[in-house]
Amino acid sequence: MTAKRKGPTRRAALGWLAAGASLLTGRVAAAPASPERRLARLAGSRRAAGRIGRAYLADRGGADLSALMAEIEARTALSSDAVMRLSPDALAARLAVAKREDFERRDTVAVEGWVLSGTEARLCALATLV
Amino acid sequence: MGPFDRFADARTIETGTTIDADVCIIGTGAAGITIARALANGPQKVVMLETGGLNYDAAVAALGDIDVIGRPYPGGASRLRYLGGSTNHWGGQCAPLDPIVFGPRPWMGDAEWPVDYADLEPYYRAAHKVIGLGEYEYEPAEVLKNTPFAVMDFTDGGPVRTSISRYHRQRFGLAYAADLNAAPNVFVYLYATVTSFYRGDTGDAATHVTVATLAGNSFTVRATRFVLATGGIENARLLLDSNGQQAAGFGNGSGLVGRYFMEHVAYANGVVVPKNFKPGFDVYFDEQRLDDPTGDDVRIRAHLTLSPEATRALEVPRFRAELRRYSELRLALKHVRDFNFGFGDVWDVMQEPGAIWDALVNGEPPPDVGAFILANYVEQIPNPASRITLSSTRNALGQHIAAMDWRLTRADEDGIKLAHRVIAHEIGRSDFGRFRYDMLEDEDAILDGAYGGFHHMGTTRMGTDPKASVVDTDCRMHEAPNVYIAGSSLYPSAGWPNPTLTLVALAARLADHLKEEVARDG
Repeated sequence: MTAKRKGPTRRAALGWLAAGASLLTGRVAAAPASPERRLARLAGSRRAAGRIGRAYLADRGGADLSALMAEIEARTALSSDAVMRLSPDALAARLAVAKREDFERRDTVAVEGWVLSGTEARLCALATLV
Repeated sequence: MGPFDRFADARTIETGTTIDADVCIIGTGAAGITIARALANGPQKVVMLETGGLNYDAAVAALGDIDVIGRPYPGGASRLRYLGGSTNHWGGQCAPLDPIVFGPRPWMGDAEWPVDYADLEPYYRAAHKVIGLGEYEYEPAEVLKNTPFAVMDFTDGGPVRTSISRYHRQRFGLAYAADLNAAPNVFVYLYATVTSFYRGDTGDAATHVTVATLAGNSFTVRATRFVLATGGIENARLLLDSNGQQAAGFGNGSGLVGRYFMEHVAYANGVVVPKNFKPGFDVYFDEQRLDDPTGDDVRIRAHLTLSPEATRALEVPRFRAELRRYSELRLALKHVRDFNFGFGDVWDVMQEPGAIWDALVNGEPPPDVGAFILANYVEQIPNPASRITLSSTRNALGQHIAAMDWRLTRADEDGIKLAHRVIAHEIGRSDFGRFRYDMLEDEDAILDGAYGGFHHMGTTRMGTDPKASVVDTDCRMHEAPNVYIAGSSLYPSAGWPNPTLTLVALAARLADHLKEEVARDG
């Protein structure tokens, strides 16, 4: 987004929206933060990422959370500690670089014909599992 | 002949008549008319022989039937046999060949041209005027400035580029019949079908051609020079069928007449969802009117092509990716019918986290989810086994019709696949969007899905070696010093553009050569 920002940042907006939704539904965020959850939140909307992730896992033939995390960490050069420590913006920037590098070295996967970066497909898979 | 009172109807010429000319041009399509106009009002007597009349005639069209013996092909329907030739139904798409096409490309086999881009550049400019294409300008930044259209940003300096085609559907017959009629030295004969070339008792030069009509009469045209300009299939067929004195066909000692028949191989397979779809991308999907400073009625369209550097590095044929907007309805149906997830899901996961909410909070509409289909038009690798020969079937004038044995090979299939893969990865690498394709690994399945663009090329190829080509750099037949050939049959390789602009440029160049030669030798 290159447009000049006139209002609150998107992170703040998301926070307000989440808080508002929690108040309306009477629920509170129950799940504690984890590296898997922090990464999964950056995969896109839960619904879209979940659909793609399920298709990827079906092709892959299994859903091993720790293996997925190890593969993502290898591609992003991020440890679990770093995932927890980095800000969401910094984490998103690292993921964007990893996706570009996947394409550069042809580390891609075909999911129902879509050519996705290896990191991207695994992030979607995470979103279905956490 | 209506307003063209100097045009003659060959059906009224008495059998046995001989007509003399300085230059005899066979065919009145884009190439033939370009040469005739260049010679108009000059000192030479120019005779033009057109197999048809001023309009479509089914009986004449049937003379051009084709016996398809190779890959399926629409055959004779692709050519028109009346004044103006196939420009009467062409799409008007034009772009010059890239400089890289003229040079050596070992991965393309026998593809090198004996001329280079610099030789043709002044004639490309001349051809622009003949076709009415406006300014000779193809740089996307220049063409698109002051327009609402946008270049896809991943094509700015990377291996995938944006290239421009210009369009003007110049109907050469309609546009230039009055010029031909007014030129006192040009004589147009309609319904005059050339049946054979002949030599004299000595020497290689052609002395005359025989002409027949569907009315049953026949006559002879003698000329000092002949220009054969009847299209990429008929040029070869007529030479092969002129076999009364040379069994292999007129001027075909090399055996190459009819070989290397080439097409642009079209293969549609792929969908792109851009991260940020812009209305300005419409210039990639359809022809768009351009406010050209010359005042010509010009349209433009953008394509994706590969940079010369990437072409060499990947050793891929030249190709252009033509894009078509995916309709919302089709998009929705496709989503429901085939897949567990759809275009919108892919678009969603590409967005910056929270970008959609961000836009809503800031009062901005979310960006458009758009998609487009990708069809690549890939130049065929020159292949001597892909060829035009003579069929055993004869037409109403007793001529052998053409047999078309169009062949694609594993190397062509590899080019098709590579063209799609390069674009798929570059779209992802640049984060422009994501690409979906269902490329099949089975060779037959891919090649079965490929089709041609009615671009008939290569059958009388140009070159310096008489053993490896049919005409020399002046478009003169190696084996007949007074017979010249014009048209896309000259092309040793095809590049990505449609062939007409280059064939008109080559015709303008040939006309200059003929004028110089006549001035020098008489």
